Amino acid sequence: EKIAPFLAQQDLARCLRVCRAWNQLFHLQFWTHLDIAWDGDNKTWQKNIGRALKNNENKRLVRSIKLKLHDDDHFDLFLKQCPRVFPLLTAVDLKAPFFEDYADHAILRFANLSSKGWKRLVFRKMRGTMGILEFDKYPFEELLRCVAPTLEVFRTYSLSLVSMRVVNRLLCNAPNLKELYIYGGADIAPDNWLDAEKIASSRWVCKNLEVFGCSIGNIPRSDLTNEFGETFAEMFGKTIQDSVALQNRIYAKLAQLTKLRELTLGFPLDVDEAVYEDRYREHYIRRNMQHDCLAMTLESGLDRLKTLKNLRNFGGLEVMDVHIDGDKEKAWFAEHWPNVTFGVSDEIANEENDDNSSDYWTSCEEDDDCDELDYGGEHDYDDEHDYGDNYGYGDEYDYGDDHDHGSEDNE
Amino acid sequence: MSAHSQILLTSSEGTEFLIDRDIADKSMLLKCMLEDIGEIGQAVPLPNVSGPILTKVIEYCTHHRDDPNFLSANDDVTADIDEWDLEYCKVDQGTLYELILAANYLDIKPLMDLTCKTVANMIKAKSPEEIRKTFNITNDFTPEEEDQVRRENGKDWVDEH
Repeated sequence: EKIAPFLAQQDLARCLRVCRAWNQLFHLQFWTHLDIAWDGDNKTWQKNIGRALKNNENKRLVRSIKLKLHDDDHFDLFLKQCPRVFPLLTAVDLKAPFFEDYADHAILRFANLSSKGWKRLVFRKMRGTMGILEFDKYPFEELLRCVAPTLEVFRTYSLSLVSMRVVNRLLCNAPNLKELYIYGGADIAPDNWLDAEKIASSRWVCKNLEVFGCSIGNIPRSDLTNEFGETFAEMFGKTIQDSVALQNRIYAKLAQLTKLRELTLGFPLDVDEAVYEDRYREHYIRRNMQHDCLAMTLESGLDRLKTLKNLRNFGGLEVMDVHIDGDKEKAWFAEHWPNVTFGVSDEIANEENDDNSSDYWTSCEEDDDCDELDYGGEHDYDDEHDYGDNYGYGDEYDYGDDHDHGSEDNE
Repeated sequence: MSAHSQILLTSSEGTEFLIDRDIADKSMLLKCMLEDIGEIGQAVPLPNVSGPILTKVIEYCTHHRDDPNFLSANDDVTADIDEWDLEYCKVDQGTLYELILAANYLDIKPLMDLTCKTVANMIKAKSPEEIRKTFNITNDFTPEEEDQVRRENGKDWVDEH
């Protein structure tokens, strides 16, 4: 039990074959947290694994799956070869090229793999692949809508075009959310940041958020000027007061998240692939920084964040166009965030090293409520459109401040 | 509590060990006990830990006494073991297992993780037969059972995967 977390799936498989005692010892560990790669087209070994997974005794042990797909097509294949439902599954960490579109029925079938309700969803774009996962389009939007009530962790790494409208909706509909982390992405299209005005008027329900990693943009900064000496606020017809008022609303919003231990408001921009907005083009190219972010100065309302007493890491300053070298801010940080580390968090450092390990995989809650579940018989689910309907369409969902879903999509 | 207060521990054979309080505090068992009942001025009996093992445990805690990341030291399952810890774990298997038991009993998570990681490293990338040799285990599967285990959840996860 204590040793198994340090072993890879292949090592655990070998342990099962050592002797009867080891087989018993490692059986639970082997099936509880699966770490598998689907890297071929319908190979025999995949069928065998699928068959082993469909074994009732095995599948009811599975709580988390770390799945690596070498090709997006293998997603559908995996879903066909694995059981339709894992009674205790709550977590998936999916690494894939995210290049091809994922079919609606596949996403819905994926959503229905968990009958207990999804708690953790992590999507990672495979390195070295061009890929776009369009969260702002059906069916991923639908997936997040379905899982919002139970979701605790939602992280994406290096996926471009993760729609912040959808992320904002998640913040308005996921009361149990503890970690939200939208890292990177090659694009800096307008919707790639949480829109300040929109989130200021949204009703976030995730009061227990511990990790918030998300860019916030569209703030008309009054302390930054362009090459003609005009402030960004003035460029958009805003006054200094408008800018400060908006920033205060955002600080106030963040200040309510008193359980935050990690706050990241800026992520590196990939200028090679970026689609720039004309108004910031020159600045982005020259400085590779986000201009319309929070100013992080006392004048802009930083003091409101003093409620974040549990904060341990603040990230993103290096890519935000902020000027907090003043003594006042330094003194503020020393007084209110004495234990806060500034810079790249361990999670990102690990990701940069292509290390996907996470404590979750070894500390996943072990609530034993299997008895309450009806496992049913074993079936071969060849009908792709028979989803089991754990998740479906048409449930109530708060679309943030803008309740007209259709009009949002037409923006 | 004075900064340099000391605690007396007694091993299973009755051997006494006088250690600094901050060393004792590396053990959550001792830390909680001392916080709850205070320093009673008597030896704390540790009937589940032998003298030689307690010596090793104290050696570990002393080496890491000023380590600010002590509690999260071995959290990362993929991180390499540092050089001193690696040397520290170069002991016979019996001692290693006793260290695991002691770390578990005394609730010293970094030592627990280190020793378990060391055992895991002895298993990694080995065939079942090599594992049997390493740990001196007899294969008690019948040929039929072995075939079944291999078919159900063994071979196919490994050889081609």
